[in-house]
Amino acid sequence: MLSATQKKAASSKSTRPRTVRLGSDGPSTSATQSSKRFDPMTAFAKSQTPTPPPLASKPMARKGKGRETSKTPVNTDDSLWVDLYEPSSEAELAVHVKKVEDVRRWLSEAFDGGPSGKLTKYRRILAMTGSAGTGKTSTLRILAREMGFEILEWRNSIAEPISVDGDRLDDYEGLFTKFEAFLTRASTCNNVFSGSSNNSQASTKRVILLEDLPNIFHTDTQTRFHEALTSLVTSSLSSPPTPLVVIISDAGMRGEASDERRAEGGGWGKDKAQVLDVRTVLSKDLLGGPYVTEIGFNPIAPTLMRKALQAIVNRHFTSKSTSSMAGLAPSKEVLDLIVESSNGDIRSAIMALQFACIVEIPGQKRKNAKKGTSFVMEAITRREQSLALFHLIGKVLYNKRKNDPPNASASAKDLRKEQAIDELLKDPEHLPAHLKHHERRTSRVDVDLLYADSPIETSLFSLYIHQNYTQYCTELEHCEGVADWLSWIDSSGGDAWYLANPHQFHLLTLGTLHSLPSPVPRRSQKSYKPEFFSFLQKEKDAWDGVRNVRDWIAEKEIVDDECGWRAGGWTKNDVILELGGVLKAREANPNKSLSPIPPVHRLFSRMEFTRTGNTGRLQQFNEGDLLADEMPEHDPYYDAISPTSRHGEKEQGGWLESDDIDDFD
Amino acid sequence: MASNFFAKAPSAKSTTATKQVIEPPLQPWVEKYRPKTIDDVSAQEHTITVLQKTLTSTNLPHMLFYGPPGTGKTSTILALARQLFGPDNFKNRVLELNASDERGISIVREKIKSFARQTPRAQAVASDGKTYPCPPYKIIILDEADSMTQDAQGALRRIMETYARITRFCLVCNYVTRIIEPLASRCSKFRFTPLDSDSSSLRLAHIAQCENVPVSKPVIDALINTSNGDLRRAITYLQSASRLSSSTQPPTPILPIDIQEIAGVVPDNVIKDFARVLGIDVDDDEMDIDDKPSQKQNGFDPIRKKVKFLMREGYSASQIISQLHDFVIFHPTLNGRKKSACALVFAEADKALCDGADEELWVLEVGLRVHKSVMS
Amino acid sequence: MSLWVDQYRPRTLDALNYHKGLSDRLKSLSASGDFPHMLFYGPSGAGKKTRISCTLRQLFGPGVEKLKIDQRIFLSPSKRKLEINLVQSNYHLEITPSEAGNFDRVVIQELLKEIAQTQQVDLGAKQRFKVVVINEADSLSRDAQAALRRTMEKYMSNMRIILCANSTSRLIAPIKSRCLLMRVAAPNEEEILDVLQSVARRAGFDLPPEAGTKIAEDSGGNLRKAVLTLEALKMQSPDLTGPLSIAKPDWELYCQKVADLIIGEQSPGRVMEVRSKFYELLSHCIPPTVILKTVAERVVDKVDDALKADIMHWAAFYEVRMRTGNKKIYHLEAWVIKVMSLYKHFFYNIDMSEFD
Repeated sequence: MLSATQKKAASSKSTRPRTVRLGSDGPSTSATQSSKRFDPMTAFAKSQTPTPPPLASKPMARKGKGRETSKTPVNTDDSLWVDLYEPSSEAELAVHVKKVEDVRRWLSEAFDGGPSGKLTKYRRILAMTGSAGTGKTSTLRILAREMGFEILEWRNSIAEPISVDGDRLDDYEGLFTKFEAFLTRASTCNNVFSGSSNNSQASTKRVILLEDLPNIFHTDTQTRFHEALTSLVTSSLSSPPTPLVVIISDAGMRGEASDERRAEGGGWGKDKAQVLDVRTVLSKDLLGGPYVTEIGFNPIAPTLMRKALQAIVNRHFTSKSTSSMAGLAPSKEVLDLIVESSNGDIRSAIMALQFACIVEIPGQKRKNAKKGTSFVMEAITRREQSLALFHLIGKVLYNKRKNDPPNASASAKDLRKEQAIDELLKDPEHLPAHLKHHERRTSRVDVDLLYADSPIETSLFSLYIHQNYTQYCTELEHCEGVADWLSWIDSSGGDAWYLANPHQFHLLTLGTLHSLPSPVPRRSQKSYKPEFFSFLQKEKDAWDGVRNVRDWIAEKEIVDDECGWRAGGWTKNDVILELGGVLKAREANPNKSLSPIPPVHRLFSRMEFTRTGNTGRLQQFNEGDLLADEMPEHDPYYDAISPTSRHGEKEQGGWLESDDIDDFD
Repeated sequence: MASNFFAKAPSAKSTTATKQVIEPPLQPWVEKYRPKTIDDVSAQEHTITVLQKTLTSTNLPHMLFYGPPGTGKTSTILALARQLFGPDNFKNRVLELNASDERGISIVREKIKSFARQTPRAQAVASDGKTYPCPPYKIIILDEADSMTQDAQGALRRIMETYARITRFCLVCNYVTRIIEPLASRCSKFRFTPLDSDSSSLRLAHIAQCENVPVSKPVIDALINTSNGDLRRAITYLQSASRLSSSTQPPTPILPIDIQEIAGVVPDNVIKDFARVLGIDVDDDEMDIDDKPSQKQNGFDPIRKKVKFLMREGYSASQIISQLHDFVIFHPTLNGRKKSACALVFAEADKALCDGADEELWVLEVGLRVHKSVMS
Repeated sequence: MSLWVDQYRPRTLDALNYHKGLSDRLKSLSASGDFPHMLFYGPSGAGKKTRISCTLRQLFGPGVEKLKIDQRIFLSPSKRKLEINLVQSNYHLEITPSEAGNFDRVVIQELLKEIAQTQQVDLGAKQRFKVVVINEADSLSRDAQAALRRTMEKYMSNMRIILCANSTSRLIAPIKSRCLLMRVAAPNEEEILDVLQSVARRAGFDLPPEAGTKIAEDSGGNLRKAVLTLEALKMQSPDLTGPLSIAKPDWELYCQKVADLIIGEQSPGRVMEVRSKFYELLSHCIPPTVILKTVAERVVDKVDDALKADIMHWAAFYEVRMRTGNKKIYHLEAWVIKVMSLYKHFFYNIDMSEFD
């Protein structure tokens, strides 16, 4: 999201008056709270300003770094810690032991055929999936070292002009041909490669690694890619065959209307191919076949992450014990914050850690530590998904306004902070009598800030609001406002307008804030994930049922010459709305002479009305969750360790009962 | 295999091309009775006089024809081209393109390019023995130009400049406001007005006579009323009606009600009934004013019942609403305030129906709100 | 053995029970040799498709009933493959464009072009043209309609198009003016009763008049629904006497209970409960408009007259939003809250009934 220009614009911001901020005024706010914030809508416009900005906090940081460079050996300081402290053994790996074990077992089965010795045939392709920074590649590399095999990796050469548009397709075809050649050579003539490598005598085991994939968004390329893999798997040219490992990082996309695409449902699955996941990389046949194994990697659990980070810190500061910088190991708070804000992405966590150690944290006074830390950390860990969804929803739904009565559980520090915020907020002018019912106190929520930090796009955000808003309403009138805004937001867009409309988020947030009661009563509301998707899935299944029943009718019409054929047959709606009674009656009175109805019809024809709540199905979400809907179902391995990690999260904030969310300001 | 629906009979292939020519009895009358010369074009006197002059000078500007459907825009340019080039050269001198036919400016550009590349070769004397002016350029007719995107229109502007020497463009559209200004300014604009009923009825009577279809004056009136000055629609309805009537043995005479049914118009008395339920005074003799007060009390259920009836009869909602609109707006006794309140509802309903809203809900909504406005 | 609706469907124009005038017209048109493009429109279950089938049979003879299903693959502009099932005989072809989703234009264009360019191979065929039946024509996109309009003009010589739609409102004027419009109104209750009696006769039992009347009343002019109800009833209680309870489909009962929930209590908590019911309905593929209408009908029946108009107004209002929006649940819920609020205020005697 943050392009280089934007970043530049952002930093140049500090010298200029702030951009529009809703609900607050006064330049002092910007100095204390958000000097490096920028408004995404005006960022580009301001980026032309030529004056190089004097940075507010960075100069110190630069100085610090400068000093450091001069005093430490160049080679260690230049490289990124991610490379420098890449795990070298399984012990250092933050990935869960069971996961590593899975991969190891697969590899050994691929090389040696497992206990029966016959599994080699079926261990052809391993798909390692998971979001970025979950240690997929590291796991493979460590195992390579440990088990002694060589990794042959494909890289799209950058020199090659890669273009997807029709005109230069030929060039791209050239690249793909190379890829195919690579695959065949790598899988068959081992000697070609081993000849060039030094230790060819030692290692005969090889693995082909595909991490850098050809452009599979291009339909033709995708087809050819699938074909190449299929032929690789089915061919039995060499023995033992070289196993292939595909590493697929699920892209957590923001600003994509992905859920709306899903919401379209049915259709042609036309947009499936736009998302890079295991289903686009591997063809359906392969995935369903015996040759492919998929091992999913979960985001790194906070405990493991903390351990790994601590280990790096220890190594770093012991190795440079001669340096004068040794005393500056990051505090526990910093580590905690890094872990928290990394969302299970260890790579970004290490990056953040490195910066945290370079930037001198101003004022190590214990009293202010947390605030100062969070302030710096915000600068370091600024990522697209930095504001946890949980906090985003909480901020909106708690609808805090100026002069809210303080929360009973709030600490003195929180109260002071609230007061400080309130002092900066101006009271709105009074509205004329006929608009009196629209009068509200000034909101403490800065919508622009929320928008900049939102980890999800508006459509998904609206689903979360929708799922949770009723708990925060006391009167029906409050609901009425929110529901109407949701309805308006959803209908005002349309596909074409969606991209061009940056106001949906603001409208929804402001509309919700305006409608909710103030103050929102606290009754330990819990946040839930939207049920929308599970029902969407259910609906899709039901559509399959409809299709089946319709085919069943059509078949009988055509096969059975006796019955009158009707043009157009049954429409789907006819089947859904009118067939229920007969289907039920037929099932209740089974008759030998009647052909059986496909039982799937129950998916759409049967409905049981019950008054028992269905809260059991609701999934709560909390700070640990990234994009809740993108989270894979809980892996037993991950769950096994999670009690501790869950506990840890609770300590940090639990449900939105405490006012931790303000720490993110 | 032979029975495959899509099997192409190889031997027939050569004949396919020739078979495409529609045999006369099946030819739409709209095509059959297209004016042969611009003098035949009904009404539009101003336009015709101007175009007559261009015929003599043979120097044609780019042209933009606009006006409501069925007012003779396409007919005029076709007739003009025919008179300019004669039957032999017509084919290779005139290119007709529909914006809705082949979307995308690239396709249009390709077609125009290849068309413009062919050198105009003129025969001095045509096969029918007459001489035609046959000026040294080609005519490209862009029908439905207002459905082209802004970008396409912008690109078209370039194309017009590039090929200005050898081509003349004629843009045909309904809404001149949807043509971008730079494009419109390059053309001489001709406005086509809706046909007055006299010239329409003259033309219809002429066609009916040629086709040996007996039509009465009321039928002609019904045709003109249902088609709102759109001559093409009127002719199409006439053809459909004659089809229906001639298909029975012996042919049944055409009645105005047939025309209404063919045009999908809701019969007047149905609309009047509906209006009466809504509490509008209907100047019918048999109406009883007595039950009006009771309607005031509980108007909902009778209205809902009536709407359900209308839906079961299969009338189209947009048609009901537009006819009810006419009925209310031209109503002699309703005051302006009530009429404008109703007009607002009609507008909203029309928009909703365009967005694909449920017909029953919206006819009901119109009914209830018209009722409310009228009763207030 | 298939469903009675299909089994006892009239197969010739003569066998049709009602709208005799229409049948006569269709018959003479089929015989005239000057068969136009046609558009059949009317409410669901009025017998449009049956009439189309009968007309086809009148045109081509019984051969038109020999059907096969073909699967065809089309390429969308973005080179994606679309698989479409086509029902066809030697003389005609059926398309349901809604199955092609957003690419209906491509499918329509390709298919029609293909058909138009092929000749009738069967020399014994009664007609020189083939017929393309387009179902659910009102769901055709504007693009597809524009494409269709051209094709209808171009290929008149060896193809006729029969469109079947619930309403003409969503069809563009040029299409309507190129077709002969055939309005198929829903049968009235006597006509439905007639049909039910004849179905019962053919199925070999006597339909007690009370039962027949009840079914006819309940069907709301939908003949298909009436015959299906008859079949279900017959299966449940073979003698069809005594007090009959017409088993409504589950979704309909469900909707009614939802309406009761709305009237029963008006609170944020109840909103949540209603929402989960709506989710349940939606996930059973019940079209959101149908949900809204069914619930609204029920609510309107139970509230004071003063509220009815407003409730329907908001139903209409949110129904349009539902069409343009993506997430149907928002709009259903917004409507429910509106109704609850109206209802509640009515009892608090606060005048909120003004809308605009």
